[in-house]
Amino acid sequence: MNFPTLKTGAAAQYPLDRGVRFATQAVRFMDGSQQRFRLYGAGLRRWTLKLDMLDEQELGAVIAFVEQQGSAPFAFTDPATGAIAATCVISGERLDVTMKSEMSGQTTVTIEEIA
Amino acid sequence: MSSFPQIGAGAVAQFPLTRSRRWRAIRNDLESSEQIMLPDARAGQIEWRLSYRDLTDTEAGTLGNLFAASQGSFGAFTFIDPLANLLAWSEDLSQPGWQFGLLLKASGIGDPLGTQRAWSVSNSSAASQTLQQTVGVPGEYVACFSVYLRSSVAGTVALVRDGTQVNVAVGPAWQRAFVNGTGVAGAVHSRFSIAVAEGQTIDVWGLQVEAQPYPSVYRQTSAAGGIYAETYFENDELKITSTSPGLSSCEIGLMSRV
Repeated sequence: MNFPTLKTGAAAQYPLDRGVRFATQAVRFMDGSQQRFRLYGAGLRRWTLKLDMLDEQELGAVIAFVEQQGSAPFAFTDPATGAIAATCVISGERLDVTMKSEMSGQTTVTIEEIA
Repeated sequence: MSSFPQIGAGAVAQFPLTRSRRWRAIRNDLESSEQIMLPDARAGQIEWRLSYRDLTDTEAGTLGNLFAASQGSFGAFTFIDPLANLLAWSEDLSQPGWQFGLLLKASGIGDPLGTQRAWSVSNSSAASQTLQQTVGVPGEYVACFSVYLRSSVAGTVALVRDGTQVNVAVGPAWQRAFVNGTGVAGAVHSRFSIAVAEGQTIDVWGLQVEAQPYPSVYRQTSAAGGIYAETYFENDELKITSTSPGLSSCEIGLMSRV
């Protein structure tokens, strides 16, 4: 199952936060020198989709996707590059949606690559 | 060793830019309340906060590529201080970092500020000679070499960065001249020089090399500095925000060991 796109066909709106993360453990010695250890084999990507001015149908699609997906992994297409990240989850185990008025729903979804 | 990329026409950073120098001292508190402190020079570091706005996709991609190549905060790269004059001993041409060839030099010459910190450089040989210094600026880096020049006899002086040369006219009034651009691709050092023609005497002051395309306010230097070969990303995550089509912004924290 793919993350739903908006009625325009876009998966995200501006501003779109996207990043890549690594994990490094640094040990600092008494003499001031350092030794660094890499904990991840490769960088893992993360996207924060801030969706605004959604209608009920678009917001409902996001809710339905999250309800169905839960913490299960899914493939996500990077809205900036078009590259596919095969194993992603919704970050934070939580989804907040707001319907400010008719045709004015908003939500923020953070998707992170886990492998 | 990779280097932190320049953006736009050759800028390392945009405003606002924050540079935080940190020291560490080893301190012993004695029973007599006396304290003994020793500087721990190897533990010194500089923290940088770089804020980028309106980056093109290419520029954002270049930053992302360095982050990926460095594997976050794991790998080191070279960062050049965008606030620094990269020349060593900018007002002491007798120091060994300067190479003179057959030029004769004299200090204590009046400078544009009204003090006596300029130098007179004369070439009594039969061929052009250069005053030069080699700096660890990568060849791909855009840099600007600038200097204040004066000569009692009107003539021409060549400012050179590796293969790039600019001829500037000199006269009895001080004027600031510069040469900018990139050097030799793949080179790990760049050579900045002033070519003085045979029989010519010039006064020089305010020699400066900066990692940007145009000169900024002159800064006096002593020992070589400003190039940090052991710099790390401060965090293991790089976040880039797409703000509009083709434009992005991001905040980057770096840590340079001094």
